Amino acid sequence: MGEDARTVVSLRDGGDLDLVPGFGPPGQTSFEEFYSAHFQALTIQLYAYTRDLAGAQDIAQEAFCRALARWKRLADYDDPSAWVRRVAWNLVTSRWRRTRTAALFLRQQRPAHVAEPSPDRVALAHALATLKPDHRRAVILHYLADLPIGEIARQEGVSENTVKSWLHRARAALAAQLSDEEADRA
Amino acid sequence: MPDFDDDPRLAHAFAALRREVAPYVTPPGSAAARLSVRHRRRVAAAAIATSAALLVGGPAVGFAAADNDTPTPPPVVVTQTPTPAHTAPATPTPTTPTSTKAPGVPRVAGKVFYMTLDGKLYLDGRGYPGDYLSLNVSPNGKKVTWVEDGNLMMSDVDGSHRRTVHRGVENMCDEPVWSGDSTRLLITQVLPRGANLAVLYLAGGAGDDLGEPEGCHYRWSADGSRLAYQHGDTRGVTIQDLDGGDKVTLTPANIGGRRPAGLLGISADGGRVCIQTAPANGTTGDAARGLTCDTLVDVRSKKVVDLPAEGTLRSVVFLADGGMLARLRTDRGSELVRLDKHDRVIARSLESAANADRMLLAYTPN
Repeated sequence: MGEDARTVVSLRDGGDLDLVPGFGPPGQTSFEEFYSAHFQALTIQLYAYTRDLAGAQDIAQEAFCRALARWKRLADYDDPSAWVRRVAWNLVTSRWRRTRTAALFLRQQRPAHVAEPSPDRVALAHALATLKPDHRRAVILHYLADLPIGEIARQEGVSENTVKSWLHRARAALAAQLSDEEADRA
Repeated sequence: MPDFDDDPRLAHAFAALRREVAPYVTPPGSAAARLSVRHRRRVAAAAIATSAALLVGGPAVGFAAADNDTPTPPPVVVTQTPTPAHTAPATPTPTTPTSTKAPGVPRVAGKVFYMTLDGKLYLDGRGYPGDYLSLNVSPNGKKVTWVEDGNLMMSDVDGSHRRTVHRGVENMCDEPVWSGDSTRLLITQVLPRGANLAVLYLAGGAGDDLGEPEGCHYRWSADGSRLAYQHGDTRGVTIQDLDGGDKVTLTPANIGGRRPAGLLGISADGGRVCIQTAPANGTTGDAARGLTCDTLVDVRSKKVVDLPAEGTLRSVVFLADGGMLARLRTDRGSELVRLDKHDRVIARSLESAANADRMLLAYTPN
């Protein structure tokens, strides 16, 4: 039995599980407005994690497609972007990302038109790549998605203390990496 | 090492990354998303339509469920509710299939569940709205499960006691399937760290974590010992123990050079699987599950099995007693043939014209 077994919820007799807390009044935001407001930020988060801008855009687009398919319901959520963000991160880490889109990516791979990266961005990318995946997700969600620790914990399905630990270790590792890079460039 | 929690360099570095990358993000656009979603729905429906039409000469495709953003309604008993695309269903006869007895052997007894392309489940003449991608009936014929907005839903077969069972469940690549004893469900959870295969117990308690799935459309032998799954590229089917051991992989070489386009089921002891095949150079993809199969394969010998009944195989329901209900196209029409674990024909019925045009979903002998 693996550690994920704890996430398997037992059936309850009668009634629904509390699915999405924070249901609010019907949202007024159109899907187009929602898309425009969040696509870029989500893509940058995914890019920071994957270092593949074209792939990050594809995953973000897939997450928004899934949101669109159920927009009538999502539009009523207090924060539909949380749903999309979670789906996108699931896709990044899931088998779907590797097995179902890998071939598509290869066929459709297009040049990612990104300017020559600055030394600082290269250093940060290298430093992020050295982190464990969960540490990397935590630090990206904290610094790029501007999520509080509690929200990261909810998305990752772990306790706040675990997130604090991840962030502390990630920061320490990044500090060491960036300091080394700075010393090398000096 | 400095206390980097208070070091502003990190915040500055991420802010710089955001500024540098932002101009190069080129959103495909919300219009492209709308187009993609519409196309995907057509593909999903067409996948089932194609597999049904392949042997069935199936009915007109209904998009009622597929082209609707609203959540799928709960299964509710609706007496005599044929969809406009279909002929009127047969008169309800809850304990026997609506079929005509073929000569020589008793007629098939029990409950035969059909589904139409618009997601309606039929038990004889009674229809139940549902999700055609993931709707499944427990082997004892008492419960129905489906996935709605990523949530595993369950109700009694009459539509009562509808409830949410589990959150974050796949419905397209790995639809939830029942154990042979109707007490557990094999599901694929969508977790932050990735997809995860798990066994859910109806009685409660912790589930079983089976790790990361390696393919799509997992099927579970009724004795609980073996799993079968379809490779994502439709180039193979693998059968293995629950813990991943004793793997056997079937390839096109085992099925006459054709591709395994769909995995319908696995026998009670895991010794056979039924596969829908497609031409080697065909365009069939794994858009969603199919409810047909044309080739029965013995797992150990990797040989195609011929049934002792004449006709073209349309689909199979494997039963917990080791037997199966085979659906055959014969010169009399579409027939249901009940075989015991020794492949002896023990019952046989001719399907009604209405049911012959529907997809066979499940069968409960008792």
